[in-house]
Amino acid sequence: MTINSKPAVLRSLLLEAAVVGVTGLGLALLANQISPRGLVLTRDYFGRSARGTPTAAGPSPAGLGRAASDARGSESGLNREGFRTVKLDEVLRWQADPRRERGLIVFVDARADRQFRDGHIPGAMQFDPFYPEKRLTEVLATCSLADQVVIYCNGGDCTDSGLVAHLLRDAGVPVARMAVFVGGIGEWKAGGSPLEVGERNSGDLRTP
Amino acid sequence: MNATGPCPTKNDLLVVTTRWIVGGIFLYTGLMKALHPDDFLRLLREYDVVRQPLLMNGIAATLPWFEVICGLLLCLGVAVRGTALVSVALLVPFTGLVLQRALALHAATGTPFCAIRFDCGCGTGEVLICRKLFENTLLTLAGAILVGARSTYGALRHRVF
Repeated sequence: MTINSKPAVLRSLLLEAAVVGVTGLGLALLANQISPRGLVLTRDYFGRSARGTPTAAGPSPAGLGRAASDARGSESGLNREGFRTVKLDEVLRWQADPRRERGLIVFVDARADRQFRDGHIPGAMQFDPFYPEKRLTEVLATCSLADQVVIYCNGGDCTDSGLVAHLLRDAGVPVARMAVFVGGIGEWKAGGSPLEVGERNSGDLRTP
Repeated sequence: MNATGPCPTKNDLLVVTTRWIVGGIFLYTGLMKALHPDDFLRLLREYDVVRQPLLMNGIAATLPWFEVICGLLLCLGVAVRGTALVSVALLVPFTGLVLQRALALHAATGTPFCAIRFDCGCGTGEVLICRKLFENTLLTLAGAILVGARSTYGALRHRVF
């Protein structure tokens, strides 16, 4: 078939794009279903309050909603809810504190597996709020015994440390024992402090 | 294969090279995201464009694979103009979102615009945003060239209709 007129060419182009779009979307959904790492479309990865509006009564049990995290992820939002936010100098003091070696000061990294393995604050435990079921028991057991829990994520726009703080609070860790390092790993790296690469306590320290 | 003849013109070579570069980039960045869809979901959430979980999950689950498919089609030379049009249609709003977020960070932190860096969910990790915007602009232009190009050299099935 030969198409010469401009409207016909345009029509065939748009039709082709539509076919690519629809077919591509179908195949992409199929690929996600087949992939062992695929997302579950119906799962609410941020908790049920993502669908609702934040209430004045406080957080939902899940505490992971986007709407809620808007208010809670920011430094002022966290402070309003009674969470303490800390800066790098205080985090460095805790990192050097001998109580950390005894498990009385615990660092919790709220980032994903890959980011954690690429480099985290030495000795930090990983707790991804997307998959709390993976490590909640282990993290909760450790945090319950600690005097001070320091939670961080990437820093900047990242709200995952706030999400973890809410999860831990809802699981029974006292708010007074938790602090959120809002500058996160970005500020830690900018300060030139060493990163531990790989698993927790791998001992593989590298300077950023 | 729709080769125009044994001796391709300069235009043919330009078009086929552009197609492979754009397709290759889509393939690579799409795979990087498809292998870590939860990372992509997290980054998508930071843009704060979509809040409905099903929609957000749907975008995070399909967009990376969709990019992979577009990349494959471009590399193979199947439905080239339609695929290029779809690619441009993906790139333009996404680049706009990256720009919007970079401007917001610039305003909030006072960091010089070209020193701002973050993981934009582009599949290449943390990047300097000025550079990313430049790359995306080039990629969009390359996609637009493919939409308009008539050369079918090296294409398996240049057009479907």
